[in-house]
Parts: sequence; structure tokens; C-alpha cells
Amino acid sequence: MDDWHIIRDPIHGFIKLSEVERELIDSAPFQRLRHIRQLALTSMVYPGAEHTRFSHSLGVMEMATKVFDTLTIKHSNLLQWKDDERARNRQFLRLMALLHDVGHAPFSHASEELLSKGLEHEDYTVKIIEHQEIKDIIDKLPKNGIDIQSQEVADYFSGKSIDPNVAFLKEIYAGEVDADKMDYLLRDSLYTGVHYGKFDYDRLINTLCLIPNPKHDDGTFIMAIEEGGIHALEALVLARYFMFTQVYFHRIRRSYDHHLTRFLKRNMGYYPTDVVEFLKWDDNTVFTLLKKHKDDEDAACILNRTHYVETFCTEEHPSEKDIVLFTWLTEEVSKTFDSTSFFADVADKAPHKFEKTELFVKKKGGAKPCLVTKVSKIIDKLQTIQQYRIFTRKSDRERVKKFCDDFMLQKKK
Amino acid sequence: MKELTNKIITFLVKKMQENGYDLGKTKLQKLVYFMQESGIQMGLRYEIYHYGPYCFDLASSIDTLDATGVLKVTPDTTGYGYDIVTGPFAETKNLRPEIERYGLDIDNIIGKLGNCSSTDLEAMATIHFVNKILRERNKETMETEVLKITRQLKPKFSDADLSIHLNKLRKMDLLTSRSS
Repeated sequence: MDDWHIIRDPIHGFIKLSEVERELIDSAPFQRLRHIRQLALTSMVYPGAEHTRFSHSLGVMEMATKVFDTLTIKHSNLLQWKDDERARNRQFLRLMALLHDVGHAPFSHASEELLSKGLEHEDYTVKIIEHQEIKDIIDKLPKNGIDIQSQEVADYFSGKSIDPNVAFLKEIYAGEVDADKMDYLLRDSLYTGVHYGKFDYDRLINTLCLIPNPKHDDGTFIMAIEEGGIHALEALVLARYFMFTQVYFHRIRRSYDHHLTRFLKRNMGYYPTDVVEFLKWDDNTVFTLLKKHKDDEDAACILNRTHYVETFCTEEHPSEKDIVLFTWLTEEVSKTFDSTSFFADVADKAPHKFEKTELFVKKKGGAKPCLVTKVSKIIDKLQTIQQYRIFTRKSDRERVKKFCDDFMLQKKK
Repeated sequence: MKELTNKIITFLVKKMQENGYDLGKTKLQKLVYFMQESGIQMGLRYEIYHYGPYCFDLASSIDTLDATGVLKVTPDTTGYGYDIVTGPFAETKNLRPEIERYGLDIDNIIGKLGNCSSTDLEAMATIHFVNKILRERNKETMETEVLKITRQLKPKFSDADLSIHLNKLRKMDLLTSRSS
């Protein structure tokens, strides 16, 4: 980078940017991310959680670059990339990481349900990249000697990329141990003050490696972890598990997600499909709408912090039988109580998902690689968190709670 | 949509078991891919990953169904993959009524592809995916171009192998998508 800029970040220290990257960051669609909170209304529980998609996007770019540099330096013989090919792939990855959240709706995942039917935030990301401002900036890259077109970046986000390196780059930024996860855990942990999210990411990144694909001896390779990095990986997986239980699935945070969605459904409908109109929406626009409709029950709950309270919840790892019972219970509650007085929080529809980690371990002494679940009992045993809950107005809590408890007691007999 | 997808996955696993076909994660990903491409709208977003077209949301659904006992996912004998069968709570899912309308399409895909290996399905799904993308970009797509790009993505397959897989897809009337 001949002409580079720096931004100070609380997780990564100084983040270096090229001129084109700086232009992207200065563009209006990217600056909008300064007004979209990373964790929606989690600040109602953890007041520090005011950080935004803006700093997270910069962090993912930095983290992805660290992983890329480690792997490509460690495995230059395996990859056999020429200098210009490496520079192109590095820049492509940085763009993917930097732009991966530009299509987010206000309050990140919390109001995603209000995206027009069939659309996801990635679809808006594609529209924004194809829109004039971002497109024109990316299309300057070939003049700087880097052969990347905006359409290729858009194709990546629409899932239409057929670039031979796409799987490798995708794995770095959105795979099993990816830059997105690593950054959001560290950042969310820092800003919420919930220290569970910390892990030794330097060690983790330095023990990542590439191995020949164990399923096929065909010259292709996949990302793996060296045996010495297992404990750093366990720390990441546990950090994620605890951040789910303590932050992402926190009952009050989930309650506010519902208030927000219900309010927007009633007072806005769906977000516009037109990209220019969509970009007008951020957390501030929604807050203005909340204040305009301050007498709306859900708006009042958010503005006055008088959220619905949890009156029933399943275990963190319910069986299918528990889920069937929960569905039955929800139906009975809806027959007995006014539909506006409660809401059911179904884990399947929650924005954050806790999946199993399926990384290969490169064993010492040339032994055959194996799945991490074979080596780490902790990772093997962790299960998807799937808590289901019923929330009600505070004034109805005792009545609804008694109803739920009686129902479950009777059905479990 | 998610509930429907989960029911389709469970139904598919059950059917594969009844037919005596083996099933792992890669194979399940590709069978669901072909189901969606044959017109069963599940809203799943597939993209190229290590073993061809792959859907991250589907992988997450498989985990969830495993965790709740609807499916049972265990490491296979190679230690590199998994075996998937129905779990103890598969019966609690009332499968039939909601997927009745897709029954024939599902049976059709299982009939044509259920017995294929995961490697063959990887090749076929990748050819299908590349063909679809190139057609979207340019209606006059040449087969040689489809095979060339598939080869770049999947160097383990020879040109001859890929040609055979492409012809198989055409014979089975699976080369082009029916999804919108």
C-alpha cells in the first residue's frame, strides 16, 4: 500500500486502509453503518452495547487479513499464487469483509423480519454494491493494477460467484473459524462488559493452516487447525456458547427484539425494496418513528423500558418433545389470553445461531487429520442453544405463569 | 419456510433409509439442492463451497434437527464425514400433509439420485450450478465453457468424468432449473 490511512480500533489497534478502501468507508452507504447498532437493543440490558456495524465491519476486514496473511505466508508452496494473484485475492477478501454488512436493516438482525418478502440482508448488500456510489469506487481498482470488478463482489454476496478461489476466501471470512465470528465475539464482549467472549485469537490464527482435502486426494485444500491450537479453538467455541447464553439469547434482549418488530410491523410495514429508499433507514429513523408513535404500546415499552417479562421458558437444550409441548402451550395461551398481551419467542427464528464446529485437526507427526469433535470432547458435547419462551405484560405475569406451569405439569404427568 | 424445509429434510432422510441408501451431510446438501432446483421452493441460498453448491442455513437446520432428536448425525467409519438417519423424535413431526404436494418431486429426485455417491453428486451439482449461472449471464452458454469452469472449481474431476456427469444430468432431465 503506497498511500495508506489508519484508523484506531479498540480491538485491533491501528487498522490500515488503502485509498480505495478509505473511499468506500467514506461513502454514504458505509457511513450509514455508524447508525446501526451491532446488537440492536441489547444496550437495554448491557448499557455499553452501543457499538455499531461500522466498527465491526472494519474489524472483520482486519481480522480476515490477518488470517489470509498467516495462511498464504505459511502455505505459499501449496497455493503457488503469483504476486498479482495473491494481491488480488487479498483485496477481494478485504472488500468482502468490509462490505459484508452494508445491507443490514436498522438494529441489525432484530428487524430483519421486516425486509421485503423473500429478501435477506445479503440481497440488499448486492443492490447497494451494484448501486452507483459503491460500484464506481470498486471499479477504480483495475486502474490501480488490481483486477476486480464490482460485479464480481456483488456476485459473491448473491452466491453466484464461480471464482475458483471463492471457497477458500469464504472460509476465511464466514467458515468454521472465521473473521466475522472472531471479531463480533471480541467486540461484543468488550462493549457489553461480558468477559466470556474473550479468547486468544493471536494463538488461534497462528495455528490455522491448510491441509489437503482429507475426503479427496485431489490437490484441493481446506482450512484446518494444528493440534497445538485446539485449546485456543475450544476457548473460541466456549466464548461463543457463553455469549449466546448471556447476551444474544438474553431474555430481556429477546423481549425488546419482539417489541421492535411488532412496532415496525404495525407502523411501517416492510422496508422498501428500492435501494435509495432503503438506505434512508437506520436506527435513528426508527427512533424518530418510535417517538412519533409514543402512545403505541410497543413504542412505549422501548422508550420507557417497560418491556414484557418472561413467564415461561424451556431448557437451553430442549428435546423435540419439549418443543412440541411448547407449541401446544402457545396455542392454549393464545386461546385463553388476549393475543396482544403475550408473545412466544421461538428459538428457530432467533437471528443468532449456535452451530457445531466442524474443523479438521492437523495432527502432529504426519498422522491423518481428523475432525475436531474427535479430539475435543468439549466441542463434541456442546449443543445448539434453542431456548423457547413466553413473554407477557408485567401486570399479567402471575396469571400467565400459573397457566403455563399448570399446563406443563398436567401434560408431563 | 424453515418449518417446511425441516419437514422436507426429515422426510428425505426417512425415504433414503427406507430405500437402503447411505446419507451424509454432503449428499444431503446436494439432494436438497436438486430438490429446490426441481421446483420445491425452500428459499435456500446455495453458493459454491468446498464440495460444490452448499447452503449454510441448511447446515444449521441439520444441526438443529440433530440437537432436538429428529435426526441422528454420527461420524461415519472414515472419520471424515457423517451418517445421517432419523432420530427418536422424527415421528413427532407430522410430515405427510404439508409435503404431500411435493411428494412426487421428492420421490423423483430420490429415484434418480438417491443411490449416487457424494462425489458424483458433488460433480453433478457443481455442473448444474455453473450451467445455471452462465445461463443467467448469457443465454447462449456452451457446454465446453460449463465444463471448463466446473473443472477449475473441481480439479479432481477429469474432463471425461465431468462430460459423463453432464450427460447423466441431461438424460435425467435435471440439467436446467425449474425453480424461479
